Amino acid sequence: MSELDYSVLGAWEDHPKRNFETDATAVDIDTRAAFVLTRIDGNSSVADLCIVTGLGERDTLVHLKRLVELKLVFLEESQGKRRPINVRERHKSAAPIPEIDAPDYNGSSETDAAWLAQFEGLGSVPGRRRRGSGKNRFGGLKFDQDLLREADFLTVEFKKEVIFLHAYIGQIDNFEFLNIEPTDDRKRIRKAYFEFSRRFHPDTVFRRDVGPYEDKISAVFKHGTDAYELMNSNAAFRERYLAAVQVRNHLMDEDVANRRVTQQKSRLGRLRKQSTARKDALRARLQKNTAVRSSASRDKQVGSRLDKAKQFYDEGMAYFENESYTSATNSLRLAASYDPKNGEYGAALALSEERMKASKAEAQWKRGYIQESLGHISEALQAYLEAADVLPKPDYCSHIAHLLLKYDQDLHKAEELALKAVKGDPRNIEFKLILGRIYQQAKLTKKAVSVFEQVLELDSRHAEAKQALRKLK
Amino acid sequence: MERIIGIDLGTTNSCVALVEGGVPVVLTNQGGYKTTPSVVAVSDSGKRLVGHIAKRQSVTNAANTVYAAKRLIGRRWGSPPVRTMIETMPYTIVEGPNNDPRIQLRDRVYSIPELSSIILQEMRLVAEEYTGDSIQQAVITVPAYFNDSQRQATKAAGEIAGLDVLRIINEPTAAALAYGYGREVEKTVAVYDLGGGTFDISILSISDGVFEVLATAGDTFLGGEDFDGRIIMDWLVLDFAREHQIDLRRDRMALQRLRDAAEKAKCELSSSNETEINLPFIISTGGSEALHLQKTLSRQKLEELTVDLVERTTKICRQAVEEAGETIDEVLLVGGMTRMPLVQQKVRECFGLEPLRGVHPEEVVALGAAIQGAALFNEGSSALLLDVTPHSLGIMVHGGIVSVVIPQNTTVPTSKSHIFTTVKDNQTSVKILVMQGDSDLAAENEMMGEFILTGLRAANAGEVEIEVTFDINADGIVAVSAKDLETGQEQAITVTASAGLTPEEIESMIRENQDHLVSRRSDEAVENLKLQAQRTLMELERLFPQVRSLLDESEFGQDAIRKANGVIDRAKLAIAAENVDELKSVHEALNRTHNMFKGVVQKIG
Ligand SMILES: Nc1ncnc2c1ncn2[C@@H]1O[C@H](COP(=O)(O)OP(=O)(O)O)[C@@H](O)[C@H]1O
Ligand SMILES: [Mg+2]
Repeated sequence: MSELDYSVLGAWEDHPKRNFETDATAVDIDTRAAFVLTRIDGNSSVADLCIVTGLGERDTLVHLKRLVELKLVFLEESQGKRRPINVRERHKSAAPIPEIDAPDYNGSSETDAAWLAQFEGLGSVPGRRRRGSGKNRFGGLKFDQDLLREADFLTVEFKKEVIFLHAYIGQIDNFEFLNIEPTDDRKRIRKAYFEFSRRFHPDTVFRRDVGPYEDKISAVFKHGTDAYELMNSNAAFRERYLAAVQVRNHLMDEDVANRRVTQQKSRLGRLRKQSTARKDALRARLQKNTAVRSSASRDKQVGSRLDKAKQFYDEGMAYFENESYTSATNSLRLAASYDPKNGEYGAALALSEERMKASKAEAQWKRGYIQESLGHISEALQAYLEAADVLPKPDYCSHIAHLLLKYDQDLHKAEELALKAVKGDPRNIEFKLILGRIYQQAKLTKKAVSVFEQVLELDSRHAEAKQALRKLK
Repeated sequence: MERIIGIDLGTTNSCVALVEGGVPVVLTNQGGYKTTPSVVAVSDSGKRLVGHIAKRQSVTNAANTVYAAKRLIGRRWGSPPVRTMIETMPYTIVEGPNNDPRIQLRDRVYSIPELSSIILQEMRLVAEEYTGDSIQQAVITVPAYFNDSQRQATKAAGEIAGLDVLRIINEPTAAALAYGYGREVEKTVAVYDLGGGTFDISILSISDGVFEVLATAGDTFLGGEDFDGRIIMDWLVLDFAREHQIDLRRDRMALQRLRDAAEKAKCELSSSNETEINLPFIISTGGSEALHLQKTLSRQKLEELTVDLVERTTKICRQAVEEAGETIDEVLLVGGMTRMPLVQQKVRECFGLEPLRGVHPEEVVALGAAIQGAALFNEGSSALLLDVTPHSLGIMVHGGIVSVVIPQNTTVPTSKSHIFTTVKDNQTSVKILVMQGDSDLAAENEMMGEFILTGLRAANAGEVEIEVTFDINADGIVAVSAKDLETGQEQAITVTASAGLTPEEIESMIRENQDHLVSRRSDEAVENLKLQAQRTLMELERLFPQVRSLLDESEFGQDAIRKANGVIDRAKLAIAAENVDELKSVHEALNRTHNMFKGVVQKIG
């Protein structure tokens, strides 16, 4: 039977259990196999065991197989979904961690996925992000305390990071692996890679006995380096991979947002019900007293207008708090029209309108962003321009100017937007650079020189500005 | 704590440094020099000579004096650089048992790592004398373009010298470290290194204390010696031939004297505008007459003679910069030749930047190596070197083509796998030929090793899959394994291409080296006395005809001549016997005779 045939091991979900009828001291096993044996607690699945041992999946399986063959261990079939262990496909099927109940947000289009598959583990976009924040920063991974006690001169945080990254090699996207944002530019990615190297290069533990961490650190460094080098050297890969990750992230975020909206909606429904109930009660009381108080009806009417205004105001603020700015604006508009003199209502309306605009612009911008990631530049520009029309933020303007320049569309428009950006934030070097590049492209040498000189005033060592100036002069 | 030395094992000079109290310092040898010529010789009595003393006696012992051995390290016998060396070097290069070049010095053949180890041993001694402690660990530098065999061979040399070589690092990287690039800088730096025999230009990216080699280029046969050559061939020899119709190159001794004088003149012209070359008795005309050479060389003339050499370096620089595709923020000057004002000027023009130069450009590489040595053991140190593979690694596949598994400039450590298949029906074994180099054709690459994987299932061509994995660890050691994906059967080798040396050979060399160490010091004393005696003898013989003609008349004079002859014979015997006591006692007699001769010539002549 070959080493790669793991059919005796069944499925990832199965539970290895000790067979105490066989005497472990009487059979011939090596120390590693013995170690694996001691990690078996009967409650964990094969997939769990692979993490707990710290030996890596492959080695763990080899030893486990030997233990099964020697009848020291047997496997208890799990109920429910079972994924057979097939090591040749381990990138796709092996999931050392039981998945938390969450769907896969498969980000890549089918053609992209096929194209990215040629890069094997480095090209696969895992269905979801791993890292969370705070307590969840290791994606809910459970750590083996014994393993964390080894190599005590390393910090626990570092060891956790190593175990985490090692366990998820091939199942965590390259950006998360290197701890960078997908939107980071090349320079920042490079910086992040250097930071990564400082932490995980094997030289950081040069000739020190770090036990089981030695192989892990080395594997983590190698994988991170492969990921960095691929992204750094292959522009086509970077683009498609980035798009796939962004789409996945977007889908994931959208889903999370939708779930939040559903929650909000039910809350608003409750609020509405309450207010309707209150209204009904009020109406009933009013009807009872109509006859008696008809003379005073005018006063009452004013009072009821004020009541209505208050009602709509409350409703509007509830929407506002739930960040549903369109509904909030509608309600607040009604409130303000019932009680035009109330300054508080007016202010709330203005604020809500502003928020509504901003969130519309943001949504528009996001749409543009996804289009851009997918390489649909003209669609992206259209969405971007709409966003900037509503909300002319400097960074929006500058980014559009940059795109207009890059795809050589309309240098006048580009200039206008770049100028707007620079005016909005005169100390931003990036905005100035884009403006300078536009002038350079438009052969407006004087203007270009003056802009690049301004850049140098802000950062006297700026390489691009220096070079551009040299070229221009 | 262990002390770790940094050694710059140069083509012409070597240098050793150490970090002391956080400050890197270059160590001075007993002769007061901070660099030691990378020269090894074997004297006519079979004694081994290293460094300055070896360089000094090279006049009389050219065939048994090795210099520039670094150009041969880790190379294969038939390779072009080896062929060039065979043609140009005065020593004899022979083929070693494992397809490696070796050097014959008198009756023994030396491997290149062994010769390098002799120099490393010398550097180790310098450090041990300085610290008064035994030194075991070292970081050694090599040019950035060195391939794996060359690095391994350098490592082997260190081992033979009894050193634990912690790391082999790139010279330009070491230089950048020494220039103080560390945590806070983020720059692209060009390192321009013009040494005695080689020119290297490397582009590094430095960021937050991480160093990355982006591109390297250079010329392994372009350096200070070529400048010396221009002075000799295009000026001294030519003029002399015009004047006397004699070709000085025919006389090895004359040539070696020219070489020394030319180098001295070149160095002097870095700080002054004019220098004298004065070589009395450069050659005899056959009769009793001897010719002298005396000339004045100006800086301007030197620059005229060598400007094309400098321009060759700047042309290579431009290509390298283009290849790297980055704006250069800074240029560092390394190597003794960068002291030459013309070199500095041309570099400035080429990069449009004022180059940075240390006070001692030939020492910075060793300083950097020492800094890296200290950093390896220093937690949270500010320097981390990201090393890359200088050449592609792969295996030879059907049709003599190389299939690359690890491309050039991949950061190490790394491991990469490729799946290959059988090419013939019923093929049950495959031969894995491990290649390195940058050509697609296997024949143009270097073979690093081979092994065979057997026991494959007999099947149609292309059916059996074999996974080949290359693994390079942080020390740059390459391991290659091949695995039959069907049976899980595996074969592996660790490629230690230590220039054709087996581990046993290295073992025995280490032992032999220890023995040499014991006798080495006394050898040097003998050799110095011998050299002194020889020099005085030459002087005496030069003055002899004149003195004889002046003194022959008187009886007192004849007696004096007889006595002088006696001293000369005694001295010759003592030199031949290498007898220390006798050499010491004859030393005084020789000096007395010499003084007497000089007195006679001055007073009467
Ligand atoms: N002051 C100087 N001016 C010009 N050349 C010099 C000077 N000092 C040393 N050199 C030359 O530098 C070369 C040696 O440089 P070095 O960096 O020590 O060599 P390598 O690194 O090749 O071993 C020799 O050719 C030597 O003549
Ligand atoms: Mg050098």
